[in-house]
Amino acid sequence: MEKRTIQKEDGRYLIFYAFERPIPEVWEEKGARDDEEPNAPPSAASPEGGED
Amino acid sequence: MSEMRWHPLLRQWVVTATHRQERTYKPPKEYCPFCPTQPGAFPTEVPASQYEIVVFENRFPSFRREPPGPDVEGSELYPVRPAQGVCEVVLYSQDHDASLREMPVQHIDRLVQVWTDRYIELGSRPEIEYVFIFENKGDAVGVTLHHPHGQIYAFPYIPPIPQAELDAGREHREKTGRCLMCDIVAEERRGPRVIWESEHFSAYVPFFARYPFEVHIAAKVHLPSLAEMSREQQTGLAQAIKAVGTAYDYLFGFPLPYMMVMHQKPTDGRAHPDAHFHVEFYPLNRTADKLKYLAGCESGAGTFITDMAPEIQAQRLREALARSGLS
Repeated sequence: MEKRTIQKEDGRYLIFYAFERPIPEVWEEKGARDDEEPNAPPSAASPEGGED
Repeated sequence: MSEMRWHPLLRQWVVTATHRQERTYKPPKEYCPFCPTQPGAFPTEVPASQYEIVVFENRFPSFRREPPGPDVEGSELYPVRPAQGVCEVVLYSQDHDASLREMPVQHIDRLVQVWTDRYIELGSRPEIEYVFIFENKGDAVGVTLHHPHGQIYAFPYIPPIPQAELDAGREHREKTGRCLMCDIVAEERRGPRVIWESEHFSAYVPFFARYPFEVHIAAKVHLPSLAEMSREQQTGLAQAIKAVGTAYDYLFGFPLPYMMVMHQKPTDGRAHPDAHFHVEFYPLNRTADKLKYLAGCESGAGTFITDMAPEIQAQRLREALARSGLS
């Protein structure tokens, strides 16, 4: 099991757990490395995020 | 407003978290905040185009790592505390339509490893006394987002129900010298209410079932928490969870709404020799189209009235499991 913690813009943490695939790239990093704007907005903060 | 207010009559905390009124309510599937963020699509909670399992802090938490001070002043009669703790969301899969029952045992096994990691990490925080892992599933239980997920509340105190179980366990040990849950598991395994069993775990409708088709999964040996499980036992737990989920979905022929909760050793630094890991499932359907409500007697008197003998419930769940071909 691999894990990686990232910080969201609003200060909350998010942890990716990976078992059979590599830890996924997040959109901000992918956009920076490709030297182009990511297709999706870089912010992870969803206007509709949350849960029950 | 987010604070803990003391209920002096019941001697328990009530969490007032008014910001939760604003939380997302049943968005359409294409605006699910728990799916991966796709190119050109709106940003979800997960800023990646795929994932296996993800954990993140709840956007609308009941407890916060750094809570604001209470909005009201407490008193000797009415103590008030900041609601300090952690609330996490666990995304079981990137597949919006997946369910625990339909996932391969291997994936549920990975989820068990993630739960274990969270139990250890959150429990190591000095302010956290209890790590409570749970899942609410289905509209009947009040779920507002259908993407497969569970939650973890890291409490700054031991909540009343786990505390009551620990108190009962301590009294039982003082009287008999044995673990209460070990005795319950042994008793259930001798009786007619077992619905599924493996080398490591037993799943049964308890003698004292309160909810319709309530099932408990308990380790056959004394295991205080997820942290003490071997890899083999973790896999055994995954198999048991899949079996119970399968029995539920075949019971009435549709995905059965339920609450799933885990009770285990508190993380307050004390020994707790009576803590014995177990999972409890509380469905609400007493028939395919009738729900059990926690009405006056249950809510006001604290006494559950059940409509079907637990022995019959267990028989129907065994039959459902047989129909699935899993048993």
